[in-house]
Amino acid sequence: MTKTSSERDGRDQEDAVWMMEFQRGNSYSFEKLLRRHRSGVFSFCLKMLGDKTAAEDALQEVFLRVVKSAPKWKKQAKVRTWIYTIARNHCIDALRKATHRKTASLDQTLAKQETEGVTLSDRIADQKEALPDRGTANVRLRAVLLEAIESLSEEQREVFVMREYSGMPFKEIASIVGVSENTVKSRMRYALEHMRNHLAKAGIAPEGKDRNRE
Amino acid sequence: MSELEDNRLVDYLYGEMDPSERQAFQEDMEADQALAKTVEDMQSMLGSLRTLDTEEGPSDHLDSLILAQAKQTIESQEESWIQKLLGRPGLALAFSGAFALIIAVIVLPNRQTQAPVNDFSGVEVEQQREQFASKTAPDTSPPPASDTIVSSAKEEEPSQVARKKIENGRIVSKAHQAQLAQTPQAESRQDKQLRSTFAGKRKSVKKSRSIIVAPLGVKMKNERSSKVAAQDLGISISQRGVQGIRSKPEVGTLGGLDGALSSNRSNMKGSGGGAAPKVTAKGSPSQPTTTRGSSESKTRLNPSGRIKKRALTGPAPRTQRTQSRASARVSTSVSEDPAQREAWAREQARNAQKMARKFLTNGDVRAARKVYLETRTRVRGTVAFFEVSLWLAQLEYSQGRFAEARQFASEAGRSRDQSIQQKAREVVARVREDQSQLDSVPASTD
Repeated sequence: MTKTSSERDGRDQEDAVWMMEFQRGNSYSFEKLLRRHRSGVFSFCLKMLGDKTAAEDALQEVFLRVVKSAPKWKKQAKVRTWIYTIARNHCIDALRKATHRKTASLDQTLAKQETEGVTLSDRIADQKEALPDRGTANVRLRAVLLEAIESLSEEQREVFVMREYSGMPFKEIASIVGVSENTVKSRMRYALEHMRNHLAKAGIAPEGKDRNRE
Repeated sequence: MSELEDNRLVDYLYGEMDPSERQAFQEDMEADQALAKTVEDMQSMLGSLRTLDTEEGPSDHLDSLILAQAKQTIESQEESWIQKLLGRPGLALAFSGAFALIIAVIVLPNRQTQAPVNDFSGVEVEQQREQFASKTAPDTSPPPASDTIVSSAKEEEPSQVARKKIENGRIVSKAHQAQLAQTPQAESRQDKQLRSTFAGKRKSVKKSRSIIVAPLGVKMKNERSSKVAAQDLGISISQRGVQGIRSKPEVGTLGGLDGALSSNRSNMKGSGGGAAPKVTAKGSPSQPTTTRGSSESKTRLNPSGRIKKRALTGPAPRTQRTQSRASARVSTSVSEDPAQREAWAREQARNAQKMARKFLTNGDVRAARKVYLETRTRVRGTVAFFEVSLWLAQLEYSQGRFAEARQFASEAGRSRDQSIQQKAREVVARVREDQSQLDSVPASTD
């Protein structure tokens, strides 16, 4: 996931070349940019919005905005930073428009097409019981971690996701979020602390062991 | 935990510490068990997070959907700007306003600086002005010296500028000076009236001048160039036997000049005329009477026999500058002898080439092109015409203006000179080659 700075620089330069080509009307360069960044942006949107459909919609919207704003892009800006800024802004707008999705609590009823009256905590409990064998810990850990990420504040979540899932350096995150690097690190520190506590509450040891089972 | 410690913890976890900082932090962990536990828990949690199966990505069809939408967006963005302009009346209005402003800034000042000079260029105009002034403003007081008239920049209308020029030329009558003392509004009205009165006459004067000057290849753009043209005309006439006309011609030459001009006109128009004008000397006991020559010219002489006001179609009183310009243009006068004309055309072409090269050295292609075009017009009908056409073709080819290059090259190709023909063919061939190369390039990489 993490890349060396030289690798990142090389990719950034390549991005810039593709973007300039796209500005000159080469749509194939846009396709290259899309293929490179789609997964990272999708992952970011998924973690931010907590819903795959919403994340896919966001991905579409983000890249359409990239197309529309391409003439305004300047070489001084990193393409990845620029795209993630667009993605972040879109996610914030989407979260504000659909606050009910963002504030899904453990007591909130899940979607009707799933099981009526079943809450998220019930589902986690079901997962614990339904997956007793090898690999179940992995699945359960994932569910708890997703839940922990969802429970992070918006500010902490975006920093955590960008660093942990998109492998962005803190400096770049700071430029996307529009705060200082120290503030970003501080938010990251609180996000990690929050997640550690959440895992502890869910009965999962930091190393991934299920304390309830022990 | 302070912000600094937060940063150190995060830097340590993500490996963004210098070795020395890392060493110091590890020492701190050894001293602080709680910090060590926190670090251990977080490392473990992050390790677990990273070992989880990678989650599924976006649907496969999403890429094609995004690409299709992007294509649609690009197409809509490439909508004609005219359509956008028409869709926004405000923008269209702003555009037309800007265009009008540009026209006003560029065109009108030129018109204002040229028109007044034309308005009061002739003796007739001056005399009619006097007549008009005698009707409207009687000569009651001695006029101020013309050089002492001061007007503010705001009040200075184009007509006033022209008036100043006339004053500096010392052809202002007393009545006119009395007129100058009147209000600017009244002057403006009078000027308008005069302008409308003599508009028709001006046209006829211009026409007659152009008829005279055109065969000599001198382009009349404005009054200034027409003055020079008239001077050139004087020179060329002198070359044909008439006594040389300079800035202050003698009385004896005046009749010859006017007669020559008249005969020249009559030859061209096929009409009569050519009689020398009657001349009345200023300062004689009788009032200066306006005299009409063969057709349109009017002259008035002072007692010393010098021309006070210039003939309408004769040479203008020359300032030092116009004299130098005229002398520079002596070479532009064309002899009727074919051999001499050819020599003159060759010289013109050489000069044009030198000038164009200078312009091209400075990167001013437009000026170079203009020089060639003007020279080409002047030397039409001579061998040099084909040579200049060839240079123009080469210039246009170098600028990628293939259609023009081809046109000029084809004209140059009509030359009898083999080398010019060959070079013209070469230009045409190169144009063809370049055009075929351009045609073979795909329009888009998409």
